[in-house]
Amino acid sequence: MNALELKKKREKRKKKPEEPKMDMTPMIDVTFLLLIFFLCLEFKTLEGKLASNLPKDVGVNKTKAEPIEKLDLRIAMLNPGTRVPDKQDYRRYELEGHKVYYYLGPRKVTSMTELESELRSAAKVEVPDPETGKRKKRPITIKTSGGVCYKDVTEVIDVARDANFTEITFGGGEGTLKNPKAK
Amino acid sequence: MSKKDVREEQTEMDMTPMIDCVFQLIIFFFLVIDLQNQELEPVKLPVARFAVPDQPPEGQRPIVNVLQSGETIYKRKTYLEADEQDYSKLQGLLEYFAKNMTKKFDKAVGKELPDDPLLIRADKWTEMHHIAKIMETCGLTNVQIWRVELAVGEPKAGSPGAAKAAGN
Repeated sequence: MNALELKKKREKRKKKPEEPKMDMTPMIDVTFLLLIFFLCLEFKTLEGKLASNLPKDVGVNKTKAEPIEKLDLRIAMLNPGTRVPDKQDYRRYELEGHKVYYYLGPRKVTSMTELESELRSAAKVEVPDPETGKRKKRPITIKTSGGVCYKDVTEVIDVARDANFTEITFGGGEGTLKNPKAK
Repeated sequence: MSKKDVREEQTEMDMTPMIDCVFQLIIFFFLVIDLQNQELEPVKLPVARFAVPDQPPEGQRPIVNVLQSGETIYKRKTYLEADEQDYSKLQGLLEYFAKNMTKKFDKAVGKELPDDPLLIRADKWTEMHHIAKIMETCGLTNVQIWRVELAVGEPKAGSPGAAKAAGN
């Protein structure tokens, strides 16, 4: 064994093998990012909503329902509009020139602005609640004619909710665009 | 091995845990996004000025999508085809919803009614009679779902609806 080999052997003995250590920093970084992401995701809202009610007194009920004064709002069709294909989505279309008008009770209302002010005035009228006896705003019942679209109804509910009407119910539809007399 | 070499070895970063985490993250997001989108069909919602931003509810809230044709979809499965007159499948679905909803006794009606809402998401140009049929089916004796929410476009930041939700 020559001097060089001996030297190498000595060096090997002196140097102990280092223990492998895992660097946890990147993992912790990613975990924190994940945590922050989920915290943000929890509060993210996708869409808006408009709450409304359907009539409860459907079918046979044993209890006697007390009548309550309601505000009837009918959405009627003025112009169904022309179908224009949507450039972004081939499955859907847009309606151009689509126009509706409204009946608030017997009164004809032709624009949304007018309806908004009419509803604000109507919201001032309060009637006694048959259940509690307390005075409250009248419930609104929305009825639709054939050809009326989802957008027309949501616009009306939107305005009614802003006028502080809390009870908004649906009274069913009257026909379709193809068959206005259909039930 | 020289001292210089040893020093260089020590500065190397072990990327294995990070790569592991990133892969898990990717898999997780794929699953989550898929589950989230399962309930939402690509419909163009109408915009409402005073709508309340939709927060995930505590109880059950099934989401029914209605396309322009009237096709009614729940979790990517069609329960009512466009212009279909047989509502039995839709009725079965609503009965199933009602059965799983929390019930509350209603004094006015004198019986227990489902107390969770049903969210209807329809395209803005969907004819209302398609939605009215769903509402009509909701009123059937075995269903009796009376709380309905209509989905609208996300209220823009600063809109009255967004302000209301923030408690202003």
